[in-house]
Amino acid sequence: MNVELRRRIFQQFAATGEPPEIAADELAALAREHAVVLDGQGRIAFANPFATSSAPYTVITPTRVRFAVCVWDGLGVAAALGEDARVEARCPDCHNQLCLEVRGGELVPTDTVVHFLVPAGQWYENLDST
Amino acid sequence: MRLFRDEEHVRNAYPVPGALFAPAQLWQLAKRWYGDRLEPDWVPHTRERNQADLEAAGLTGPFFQLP
Repeated sequence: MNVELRRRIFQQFAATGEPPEIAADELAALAREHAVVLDGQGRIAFANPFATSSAPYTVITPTRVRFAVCVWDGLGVAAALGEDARVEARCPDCHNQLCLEVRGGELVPTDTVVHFLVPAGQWYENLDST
Repeated sequence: MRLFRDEEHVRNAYPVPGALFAPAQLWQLAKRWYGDRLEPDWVPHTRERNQADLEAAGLTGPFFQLP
């Protein structure tokens, strides 16, 4: 596994909100190792916890907006950055906007709930649906 | 791995079971799992480390058993 390349991807996502340009053969190798998930055009869709702007979870920090594919990754972006953050998404049932806030390293109490549909034993079989 | 308004909204969306828990537990997990992701010397965590992170966040039992 190309750890240095993975570090570069995370750093670029953190700095700009988008992934770096990487050669197709290197991306394909990372995808085979489940280190990234590619979109239909062969570009990085996400490298957990970071995702491109089409992802449903928005992570707003004092410095920039980033994106995540799930609530775990949304909080993961906040944890990786070590900044206060607001994770926004819509409830999959009622479609109202929901929000989680991290302030001073703590999660602000919330009445919302987290649901994992897929057991951990199957997480890596299809990262897209997990 | 989605955020819902409350349990009733989960049941409306997913008639099949899954795991339901508080965002505070997920925050504990996120800090352990992703807190070092931007460090210059980051390396992928081992399966054992990941399983320990889940357990430390109170996410235990067969549903949270990694392959």
